[in-house]
Formats: sequence, structure tokens, C-alpha cells
Amino acid sequence: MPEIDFIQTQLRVEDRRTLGQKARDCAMLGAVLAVITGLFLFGLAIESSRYLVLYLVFAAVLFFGWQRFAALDAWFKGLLRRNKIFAGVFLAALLVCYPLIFRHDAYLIHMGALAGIFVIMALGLNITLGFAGLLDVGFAVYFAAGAYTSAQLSIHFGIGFWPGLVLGGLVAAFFGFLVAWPALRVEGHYLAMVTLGYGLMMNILHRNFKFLTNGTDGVINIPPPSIAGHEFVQPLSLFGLQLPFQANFYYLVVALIGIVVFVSLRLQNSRVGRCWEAIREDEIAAKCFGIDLTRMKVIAFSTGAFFGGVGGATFAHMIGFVHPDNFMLLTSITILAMVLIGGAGNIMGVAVGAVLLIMIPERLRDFENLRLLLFGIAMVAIMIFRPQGLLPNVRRRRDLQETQVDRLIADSGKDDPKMRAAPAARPEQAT
Amino acid sequence: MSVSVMSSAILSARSLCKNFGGIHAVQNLDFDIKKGEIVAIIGPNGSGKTTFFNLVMHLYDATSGQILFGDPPVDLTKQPTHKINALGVARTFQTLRLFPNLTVLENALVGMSVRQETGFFGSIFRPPSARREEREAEEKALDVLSFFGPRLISMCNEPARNLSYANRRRLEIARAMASSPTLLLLDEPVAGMNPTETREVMADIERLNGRGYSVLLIEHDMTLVEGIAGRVVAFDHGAKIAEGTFKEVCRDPEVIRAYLGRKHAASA
Repeated sequence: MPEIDFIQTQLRVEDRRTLGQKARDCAMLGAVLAVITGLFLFGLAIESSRYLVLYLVFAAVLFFGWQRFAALDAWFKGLLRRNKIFAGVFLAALLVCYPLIFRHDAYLIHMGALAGIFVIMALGLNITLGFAGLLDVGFAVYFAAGAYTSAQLSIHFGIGFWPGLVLGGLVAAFFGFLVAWPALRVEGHYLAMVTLGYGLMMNILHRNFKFLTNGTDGVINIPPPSIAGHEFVQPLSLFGLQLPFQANFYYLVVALIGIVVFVSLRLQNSRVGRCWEAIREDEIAAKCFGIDLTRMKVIAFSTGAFFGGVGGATFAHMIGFVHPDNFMLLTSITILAMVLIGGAGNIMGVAVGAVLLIMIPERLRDFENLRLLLFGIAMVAIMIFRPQGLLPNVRRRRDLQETQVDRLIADSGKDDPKMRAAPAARPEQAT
Repeated sequence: MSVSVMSSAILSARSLCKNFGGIHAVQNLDFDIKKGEIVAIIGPNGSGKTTFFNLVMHLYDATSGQILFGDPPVDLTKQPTHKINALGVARTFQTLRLFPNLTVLENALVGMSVRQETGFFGSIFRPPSARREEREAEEKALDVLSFFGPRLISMCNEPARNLSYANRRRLEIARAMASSPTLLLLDEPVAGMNPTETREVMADIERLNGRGYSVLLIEHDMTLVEGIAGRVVAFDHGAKIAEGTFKEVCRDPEVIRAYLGRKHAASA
């Protein structure tokens, strides 16, 4: 019965590889990932803008060339899917080793931490936009809320960084709630317009509510965090190596990203995430299947905003200075672009998008004046050639137990005599 | 109307009206669906059939009248849409409204979400109760998909947009079943299907009915209506013009007039 065979190959994802095969798979994946990592780190080390442009062209050709060869891409994705744990460990090791590799370049470590802060915020927007499909063009509002809250609390009330981090997130979540509640009466473009206006309006308030934000003077002298007596302004020694103090912030940010990724994954693969995705796909159908749109949308907005606030609080304590210019429309658009260029809904994609959009402009200082132009060209190019983003979102395949599948095949259509008599009477393959 | 009929009605429309500006999409509608029945609504295009479904799900506000559902009766016109599914009404859509980028299994799981309790923090921290609920939901979703034989299960990890047209219609029904309703509203379940597929869906609907679901369906395919509907209600211009068995409704002069025009009605 060909149809039953088909079912079994579709559903059984049980790992039947021998230890030797597993080792070979891991070795191959490790080699590919090492090459990718090597290229990435090499790119980071390029200081001249001109060479970097060449490098970026080379990288783009490599990436899109790779995508053209469907077989190669499928082979790599299969390898990645079979060795998820190995890939995760590899990535974690890379993140831990990054400051060790660049221990003589404090600037690169600082850039890594800054990029990480934007990864946190982009992952927050990914919940609102990628999961629930709600276009929020005022994300800098939450960034600002988190930054100002934790900064002012630590300066005026002596509240430490750690509670400030959570409080900053909560205040940001409140600001998310504040716009979500009325704004969810409108959809699509109109929601974008409302959040855009909200972002612009809040930025004007940042400049004028001097008693809260110190206006255009900004908030200065924000104390750095400390953990277990270790001040974040002191150099960090790790594995017998002396690392510049920026590494403290880098590791803090990496840990926070870990938490955000964990929460994102848990939400994505659960009832809440499914409800969000249902809303994104079809609001009417979602409503008819008992999903409370307002409630779920407000939760999506607030959760995204919370992470925006966490990013903001970290930013304030890392830079030590908060100014309304940090929270202008361009910031919101940059975070939005990170999600869209990376691949809305795909956590890895969004992280990659955030890193690229921080690192590349930072390294292309020679073209500072052209930054917005290049940015716009990149956005348009992505929308034309790869509208789903660099790393598009893929559906999670569920691992189903063999016994479960067998039982289902045996049971299928049990109260339908026609089906039982001829289970493969009319095979209907996918189109 | 006798008392016994009243007590076994699962859904009753009472003087239901819906106006869109000057257009009376549904006029003074009164009818009941009894527990365990298959009732078909027929009528020309624009006669208010889908509007009635939308009123039941409260996608439209009724201009006046009531829709009573269940025992004790709840007026659905006063309930928010997302609560109606929880009360036990699930519908399919004439213009398919699946979640195209979600897998077949996830579509069924969304249908089930109304019967789940795991909230925001439960989703993040996954206590044992949440894990159990998720496992049970997956089992039940697969079970619902297996109602259609291997057709849907064999595709359960595929996005719904990859399904063939007939299988999408089946998935619409499976998703509705997943929410454990007592009343299923099927909006043209065989629209666009060939005769073989139509026969199969007819058998499926009868099996559904055998499992205890009351079914209210809108259909233009008279083979299907004749084959499975215990009772037929004919609509025209938003009003009920006939009600009874298929044969009775077919002979009704008002129905002939609505479908074929006055001339034929006079000669009938």
C-alpha cells in the first residue's frame, strides 16, 4: 500500500542512525558551521570600509548562490534538523568564545554587546510582528520606557540594575498595553499608522517631560551594574585570560538573549503561540474558534514591549547615558527592518538580522552620509528578492511516536466501512 | 409549536432580523434545529443563508430578534464571537478560511484551543499539567484528523496551503470537530467538488451525525440535500419560505417561484 508507506515516512522521525553515522553527521555539520563562522569573524576583523564592501558583496553572492542550489540547501537543512543539539552547542560555544577571540579589541566586544541588545529588542518585536502579525512601528517607545525607568530608578532611588531591569520591562509592557488597547480597533496599515504616531508623540514627550527624562540634556551618570561584588566596569578574567570590561556587558546580554530565546520558543510552540499565529493567518476564523482577539493581541503587544524594555534598561546601564535622540523614528524602523530582513517569525533569522544591521553600518563609517540610502536600497532589495526575509520561518514538524501512528492508521475511518475495506482506494497525493 | 419540540431544540431563531441599510438580509426568521438533526438551508444566492450563519456566530449584530442555543438557552446575539465556540457551536466557511501557513495538525490544534486551559505563563513554564494537556490535545487532534482516513493524517506536518481543495474542505470540518461542538454549521461543504467527492462528503456528514453532532448546513447541491437532510428550510430574500422534508419543499410553489420564476410556479 503506497499510501501507508507515505504516511510512515512522513511521520516517523525517530532517530535510527548508528553512533558512527551520528558522529559523521556532526563532523560534517561542524565543518560547515566552522567555515561560516570563520567567514563571519573574518568579516568582523576587516576595518577598511572599502574591503568590507567587497567582502559583503562576496558574502551576498555566496549566500544567494547557496540558496540557488536547492539540493545543497536541503542537505544542509536536513543535517541541521538531525543535529539540532550539536548546532545549539556550537552556537553557544561561539557566543562564549567571541570575547576571547577578540580580547585585544574592546571595541568589537562592545559592538557585540550592543548588537545583542538589539537582538533582544528585535526578538521582542518578533513576538508582536512575527508571531501575532501586528505591525508595530513605534518600538522605540518601549526601548525608551525601559531605559528611562531603570536609569532614573537607579539614580534617584538607588534601585539596583537587576530589579531595574525587571521594572523597566514592566513599565515598557505597560506602554505596550497603553497603545494596544485602543489601537487594536484598527488593523493592518492603520495599526502601523497609529503606532507610528505613538512613537513620534512619545519622542516629543521624552524631550519635554523634563521632570521624568531630563529633556534634551539626557540622563547622565547611570551607574553600571554589578553582580556578586563584581563591578561591571572592572576587567573580567576568564579561563586565565584578561578581558576588557566590555566583556561583562557582553556576557550579560548573551545570558539575556538566552532567556528571551527560551521564552520565545516556549511561547511559539504552545497554545498561546498557536493562537497568535491563527490571528496572524485569519482573524475571522480565529475569532470563530474561540480566540479572544483583543486579549491575545494585548498580550502579544505587552510581551514584545517587555523585551523592548529589558533591552532599553540594559542599554542605559551599559552606555551610562540616555538621550531622546536614541529613541527616534529611525530606531523603530531599524528594529522593524531587523525583523523583516532577518525573517519574521524565525528566531535565528531575526537575531542574524539584528547583528547585521548593527555591525554593518558601524563598520561602514566611511559611508555614514549614505547610510539611510543604503539602508533603503537593502530594504527594497529584500522586499523584491526575498520578501520572507533572509532566513524564512519554517513550520515545526512534530515528532510523533511510531506506535501512535500505527494505531491511527489502523483506526482511521473505523466507522466508515468503505474506508476499512479499501484504505488506499483513491490515493490522493499532495499537490 | 408543542412543548416537546421546544425542549429538544438545540438552536432556535426567534423573529430574527438583519438589515444592511435598506436591505433586509434576514427577515423575521423563526425556526428550530432539534438535537441530532441534519437540517439543510437552501435558497438562491443572496437569500440570507450565510448571513444567518454570521448572525449565529455573532460576526454581525442582529437588528432584532434572538438566537437561542443550548439548554438552558443562551441568546447568541448577546454573546461575543469568541465565546460562542466555547458554548458548542463550530462552523466552516464557504470561502475557505484555514490557517494556510500552519500545519494540518496545528489547524486542528487551534480548533481545540478553546477546550484548553494553559495560559501565558503555563505556556512559558510548562508545568506537568500543561504538558499533559498538550499531549492530550495532540492525541485528540490526530484522532479528529483520522476521521477522514489517511487523507489528512498523511499530511499532518504539511502547511494547510499544500492541501488539495477537497482536503482543505475536509480540514475545515476536522478543525470544527476539534472544538468538540454540539452543533456544526457547514457552509457549502461540497462547493466545487466533483460527484465522487460529494458522495464521500455526504457519507462523512452522516457519520458525523452518527457521532452525535447536530448539523446545520447550507448547500446548493440538491443530491446532497436530498440524500442526508432530515429537514430542509428554504430561504428567499432573507425570509423562510418553506420548511419540511426535501420532497415537500421541492413541491412548494414558493420555492419553485424563488428558483425558477413565476411562470413555472403557476404551471406547477
